[in-house]
Amino acid sequence: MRAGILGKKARRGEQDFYLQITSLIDTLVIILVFMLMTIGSGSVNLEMASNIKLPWSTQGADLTQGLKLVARMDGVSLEQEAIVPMKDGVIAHNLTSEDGKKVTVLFQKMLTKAQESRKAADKTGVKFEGKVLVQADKAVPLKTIKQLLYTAARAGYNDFKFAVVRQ
Amino acid sequence: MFHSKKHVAHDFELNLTPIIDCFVTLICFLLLSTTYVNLVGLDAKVPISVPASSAKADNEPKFKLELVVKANAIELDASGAGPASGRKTISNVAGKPDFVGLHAALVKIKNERPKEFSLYFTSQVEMDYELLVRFMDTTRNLDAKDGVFAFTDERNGHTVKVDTLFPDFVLANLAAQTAK
Repeated sequence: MRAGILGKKARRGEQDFYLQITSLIDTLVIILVFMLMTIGSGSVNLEMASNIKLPWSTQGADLTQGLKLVARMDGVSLEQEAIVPMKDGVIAHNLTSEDGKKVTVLFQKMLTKAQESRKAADKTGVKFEGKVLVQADKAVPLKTIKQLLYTAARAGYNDFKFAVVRQ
Repeated sequence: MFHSKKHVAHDFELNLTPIIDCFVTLICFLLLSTTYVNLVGLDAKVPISVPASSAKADNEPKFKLELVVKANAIELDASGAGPASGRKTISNVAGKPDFVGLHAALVKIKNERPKEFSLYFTSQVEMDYELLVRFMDTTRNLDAKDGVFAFTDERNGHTVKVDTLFPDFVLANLAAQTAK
């Protein structure tokens, strides 16, 4: 077998020439295998939320499954559903309760999710771990982060994982 | 029909064009669909009171490490850490927290108590999320130049090497709010 492609015959000399593509195919196969392995190695396929700048970190563990909570500068969303509007990363006081610590609407949604997860856990026998994956813009104030964590903790989610970009 | 037993050399052309087309298409698709940002997770905890473990902990020398961020300094308060115990104030440098000084102070404490991993974080000033992550990074990472920390596991006698400082980052502000 010749690993080549028959080229056009030279008009004058009528000679065949072969384009050697063995090395090209080798390269393509290596790239393909590398990319397939890269895609398959992640434990959780977490897409970076749009309009968000995550902070950098030098360390961090692989992400695990959990409720996805995204805090942008203009609002909070839970599992890709917009829940609470924000202005410059701050939640309006009338959307909170318990002296501004708890975000009311978010609490209701998370409580419902927790109840659903617990029911599903009872059926399947898998323990409800109460994990939350937090994707927050790096400019969001700490006060807002604390409000979100407090709300999540009150709803039964006590295990937080902050998504960051590894340097 | 006549069959010759003699081997005859036949040239044949393997048409590789379709397979190369497939490869190129696949690679283009993978290149476009791959994200090159490596997302990882940093653990954060909120304190939850556990009565069963609290009774046991009363009999042991208590270790507690608190980090308080103030307007002009970082205050590090360690108890049960031998000579490294006590309150230490690390003043800001050029108006910003001195992360190098904080790291050095944490390494000293870790040297005394390599088995401990928890740090309680409190901030008296407003900061953005990026700075919080910077604090988490500083309190978690152990550099190669910091030396090797190890302790003996009492259950099996094995030596356990430690490659992190205080990775259990507890947001202490939420303590009163989450404890039920």
